[in-house]
Amino acid sequence: MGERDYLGELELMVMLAVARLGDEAYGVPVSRELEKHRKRDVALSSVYAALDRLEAKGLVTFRVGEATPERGGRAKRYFQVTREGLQAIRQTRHVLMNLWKRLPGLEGEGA
Amino acid sequence: MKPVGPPRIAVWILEHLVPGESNDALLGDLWEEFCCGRSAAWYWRQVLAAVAIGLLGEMRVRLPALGFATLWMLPAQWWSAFALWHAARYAGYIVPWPYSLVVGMIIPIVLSLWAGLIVFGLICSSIGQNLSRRQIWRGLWIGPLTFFFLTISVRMLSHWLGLGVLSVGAFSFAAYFPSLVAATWKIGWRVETSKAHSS
Repeated sequence: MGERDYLGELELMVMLAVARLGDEAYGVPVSRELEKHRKRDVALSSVYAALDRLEAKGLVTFRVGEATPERGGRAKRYFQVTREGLQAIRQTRHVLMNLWKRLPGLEGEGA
Repeated sequence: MKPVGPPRIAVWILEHLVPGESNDALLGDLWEEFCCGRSAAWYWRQVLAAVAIGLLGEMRVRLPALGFATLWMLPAQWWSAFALWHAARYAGYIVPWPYSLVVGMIIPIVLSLWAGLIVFGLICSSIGQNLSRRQIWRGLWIGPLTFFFLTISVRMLSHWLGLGVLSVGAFSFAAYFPSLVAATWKIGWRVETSKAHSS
């Protein structure tokens, strides 16, 4: 994985939310998961923009679900983290942990 | 009483003005959230964010086309200025009006647009992004067509606003630059798309 392929902040958070949600990872639960942990409103379009970038990099895949009346007849897009995606999460975590450890005064805090 | 569906204008904006392939799923998600109790103001915020993010994404993808059009326009502006001056100065003398406009202005500007496209195509090829014949044709007609449309629009708008004849510089920025951007933009977009699919 090249230097430029490390995940950005939002990309990493979206990937973690998708991995955590499993089979139910589509736009609404992913954005709710982000809102819950970030404690602020999330633009759904920014979540989709991040997912589109991740999909182009081959880090997530998606399948189109069923169209339901409660969604105005629009289909859901279910996302799933690929093997490369999991590898990218691990590598990004490794880099962040190494950087985190070297911060003076924060070493004792759980990351 | 809460309306049955989300604001119609906001839905229309999202359907028609936001670039991207995820809009259908996004519309469904926003609908679902709206039905779960989100306000119309929240819905509008989401749509405006989608517009801004969509446009920024497009700009990022098409940055090479924008950069090239900016660089190419600097010398081309002088060329088009000369063409305009030539058309105005000799209109009706050497070649009768309105053919003088075609010979003095339209042909030189279209040629400079096409020359810009050819150089852009060569740059794309030199970095390994070969353009198909269809892409080149598309760029060749989109540039002049945009130019004619904008020329007429700018002329009518300036007349309507009482601005008289616009300066050559203002005219170039209003008509020539967007035309070149439109032409190279389309090619640039295709290059990026094929690159994304091939990777």
